[in-house]
Amino acid sequence: MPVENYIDLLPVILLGIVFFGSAVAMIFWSARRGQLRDFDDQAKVIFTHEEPEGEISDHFPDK
Amino acid sequence: MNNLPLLFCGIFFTLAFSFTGIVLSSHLQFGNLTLSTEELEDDGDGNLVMVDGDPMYPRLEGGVALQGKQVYIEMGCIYCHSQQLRRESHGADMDRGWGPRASVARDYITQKRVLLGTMRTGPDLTNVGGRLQGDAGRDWHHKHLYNPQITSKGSIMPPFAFLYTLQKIDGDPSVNAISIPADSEYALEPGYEIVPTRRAVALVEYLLSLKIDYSLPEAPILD
Amino acid sequence: MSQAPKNVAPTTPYSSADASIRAELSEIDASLRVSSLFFITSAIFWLMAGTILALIAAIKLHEPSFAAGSELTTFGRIRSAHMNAMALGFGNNMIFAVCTWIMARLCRTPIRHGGLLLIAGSFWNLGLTVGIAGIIKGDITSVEWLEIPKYATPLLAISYVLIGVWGIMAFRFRKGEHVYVSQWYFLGALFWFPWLYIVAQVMIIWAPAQGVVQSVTNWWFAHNYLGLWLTPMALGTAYYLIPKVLGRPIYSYYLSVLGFWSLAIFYNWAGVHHLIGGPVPVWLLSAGIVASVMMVIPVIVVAINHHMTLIGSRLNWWKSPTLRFVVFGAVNYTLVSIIGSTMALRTVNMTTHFTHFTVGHAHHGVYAFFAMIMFGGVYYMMPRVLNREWPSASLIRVHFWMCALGILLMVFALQICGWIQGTQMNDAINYPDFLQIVKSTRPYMIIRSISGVMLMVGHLAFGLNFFWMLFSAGAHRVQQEGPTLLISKKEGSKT
Repeated sequence: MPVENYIDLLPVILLGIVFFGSAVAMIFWSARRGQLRDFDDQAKVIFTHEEPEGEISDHFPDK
Repeated sequence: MNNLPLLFCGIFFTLAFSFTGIVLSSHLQFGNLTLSTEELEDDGDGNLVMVDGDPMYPRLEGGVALQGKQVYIEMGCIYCHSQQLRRESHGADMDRGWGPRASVARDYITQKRVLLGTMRTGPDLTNVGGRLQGDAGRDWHHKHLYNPQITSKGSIMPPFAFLYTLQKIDGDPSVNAISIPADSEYALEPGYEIVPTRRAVALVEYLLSLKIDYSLPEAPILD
Repeated sequence: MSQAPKNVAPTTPYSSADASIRAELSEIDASLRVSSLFFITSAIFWLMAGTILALIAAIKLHEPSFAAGSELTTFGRIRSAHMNAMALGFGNNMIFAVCTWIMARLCRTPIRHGGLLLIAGSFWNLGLTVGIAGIIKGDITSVEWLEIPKYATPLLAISYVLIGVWGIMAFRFRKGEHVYVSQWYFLGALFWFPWLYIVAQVMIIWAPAQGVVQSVTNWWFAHNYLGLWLTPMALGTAYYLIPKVLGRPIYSYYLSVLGFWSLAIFYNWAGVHHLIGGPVPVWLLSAGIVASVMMVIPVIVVAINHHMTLIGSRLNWWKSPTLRFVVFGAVNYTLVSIIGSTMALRTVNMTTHFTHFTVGHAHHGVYAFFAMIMFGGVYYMMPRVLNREWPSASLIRVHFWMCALGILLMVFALQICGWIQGTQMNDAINYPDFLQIVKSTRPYMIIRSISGVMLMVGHLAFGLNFFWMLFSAGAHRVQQEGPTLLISKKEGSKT
């Protein structure tokens, strides 16, 4: 006797499809709003005038 | 990637996805299994089905054995002993004679706390009550729990001697005293005996109650 | 150096000439002083307690009669107390210290509601102390990764939620347009964790679900403790520290987006691989296996990003105490994840399941990856928060070598042991007697205890250095030549 009844899972599968659809929609939406552009500039936001790019900020004393 | 609502939706949906897929669908699919009847019959297509009758298996938890389960939990036995049997071709659980069949979801539906375990520093205990039965089994468990070296020399199981009382024999030896052979290196001084506390008695009753001796529609015991 | 570097967009608060817009890093650091000291001190306390408990448990696995006289010190309880002290005590206090500090820096605003952090931290440590005392006393739940008894967990849940609220508030009041990759990881983890924890508590302890649904929920939670809590926190820290210390941006920011979302999608499905071969439907296990294998994507992406950032920096990462730890952690993240994906395959899992291989794997992930990155974070953060140097570079070296070699020794010993154990367990013909298998693990258990002593030495060096720094007020004020170079304000500073 098969215990695993997949009909019970139907709502979950439908919900999964909705989730997946909204994820795809979100990616399109964000791409349209320009969220996915100029990535490499964002990588530089961690540097400041106190700890600027191009300087090593931590090392052992004798090196 | 600077938009908080977007980031938040993504974060929410990723977990919602796995929560639905793993937890919720498990609950929907096998969170409401029912007890099986004692007799099963062939429906003609080679499938076993339950017949009308009183639901029997798996057995309900209760009595001294349930108190023993609490001791099992308190002592953290689960961290070295599993309670799940893998099927024939997946590992050697059946070849070791640990049980007559693989365990399935329905075997656990009567348990308020499921102790599957994921470590086998010691052997699996799903069917330990089928392997060690009756008074002989009871006696073995008490000796083994008191000091595992008595029954299993070289074991790394911790002794549970604190669940036993060492006492002077007053008159006749107690009936429930543990039988350690006098010629064993673990023999007690003459005039003394070891008796189990209530918790040790309960724990052993629990171990004796762990049995897979019934067929389920999806997991029959084949002769 | 008050001029902004050219390549930073002139609108970011960091580079703004207007001091009212610009938040100084040192100002942000100072605003976190009290809470970070509280968290790191607690973390070190838990680290010591956890190490001692670990040693007791390790010795018991080859000398079972050791400390066996009382039920308070029986293996099951000591082991669980160790695990909770490390994962919840050390791990979470470190996260609260290091990740809130990075979060505040990336939000570019001195923190508000520092009191909230302290309240959350007090709840956390109180709840945990009660919980671990409860485990030792015998109120252990015997649910893996959720051993804390029922009466202590609400405190922990409140604390999680408060920390999450703090994170969202810090994020809400951030300055600047850009959200850095570390912030995605932190926000994700801060949101995911309370959800996981509360669902697991309700479905297993408070209103138990039927049968093995509990076990499925249990492993969904327990694996995500690593996958959606410790991992994102450590990865976010590495994403901040590696480029920061080297002074060069991350190799590919685009890849980091891919890495984050693939981790978010796949990791939380992987947990059920702990039940392979168990009494649960096969489709569920298959989903877990597929997700575990798919984890290769975020792992490779993160590996490319972290390791390519290092390449070309000569050996500057080795010369930095912080990066030495962080890079060790990052390399081990790649290794442990690849091993983990392999272990999820049915044929491999058949051997490794139920053995010390898994125990070794857990230590590999939580310690060699997570804890080492957090140590690195503390080495970077404390001088900036306290405005003092680390008093001893030698102690840092002792810490690094003892912990790095100790954990590698432990992982090797446990995984070799586990493989032997698993092979013998699946061979009922040549090893019919289970005791034979038990005996063949014993030598490796002894090696594991030795590795535990090494880790203990490393932790003592760390604790000593930290308290020395904390209590020797004024003695080690920032100087350019100190053990860790602090802020490169002056011209001609080290390169």
